[in-house]
Amino acid sequence: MLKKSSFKLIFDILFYTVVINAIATFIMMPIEGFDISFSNSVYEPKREFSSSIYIAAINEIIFSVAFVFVAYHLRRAARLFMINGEFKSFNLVKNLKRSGQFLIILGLSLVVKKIFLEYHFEVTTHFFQSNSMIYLLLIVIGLSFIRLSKMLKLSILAKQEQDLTI
Amino acid sequence: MSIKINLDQVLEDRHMQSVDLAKAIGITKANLSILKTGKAKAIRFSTLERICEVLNCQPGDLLSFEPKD
Repeated sequence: MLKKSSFKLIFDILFYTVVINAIATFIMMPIEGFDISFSNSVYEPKREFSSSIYIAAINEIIFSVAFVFVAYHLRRAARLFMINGEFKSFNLVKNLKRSGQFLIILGLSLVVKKIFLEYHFEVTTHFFQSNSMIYLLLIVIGLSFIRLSKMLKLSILAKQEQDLTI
Repeated sequence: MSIKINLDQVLEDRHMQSVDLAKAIGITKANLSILKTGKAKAIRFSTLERICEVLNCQPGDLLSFEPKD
């Protein structure tokens, strides 16, 4: 069983790693000339780069930012889970909902990334290309988080009403 | 809320303290305070029954309806 400190540590590691990754993306992208295939340097793009490369770069930025927000809200939700009193508050609902929304954005940006990698850069053996369902899974998890947050909100309201029934 | 609790008035008429009523009906002073201040969302029939028994009154004496403007 995970101890509270371990639980917190996992989310801290996730958050800081994602932040470092986002910073690296922001620094490396202009240096690499907005080439999003730089992570797959062994694959030489076969087509000429067009203006679509900027769309891909913007998508990469959206991906990085969305990932940071997902990690941030999950970290905050994890902290609230650990504080028993806060489980009754609406902050947890808000964080779960936000992380769900950003997970959907993350999933969609990965779909766009896949399209660009396959059709514009002809990179077909990228790590994530092995299983396309992972994008759908992210979107489904995001939608589930939003639904879960609504359920949690209803349960908190029911609890409050129960507490105020004399 | 349009429903008003007239418990203060009834208690005053009966020359009774809130603490005594809370003890008599078996609820905490904090819960009775919530009821008196109108913060309660609902009241159980069993609680209402006990209050009416102790104060020897009707539910209508405790509750009144004031429409919103």
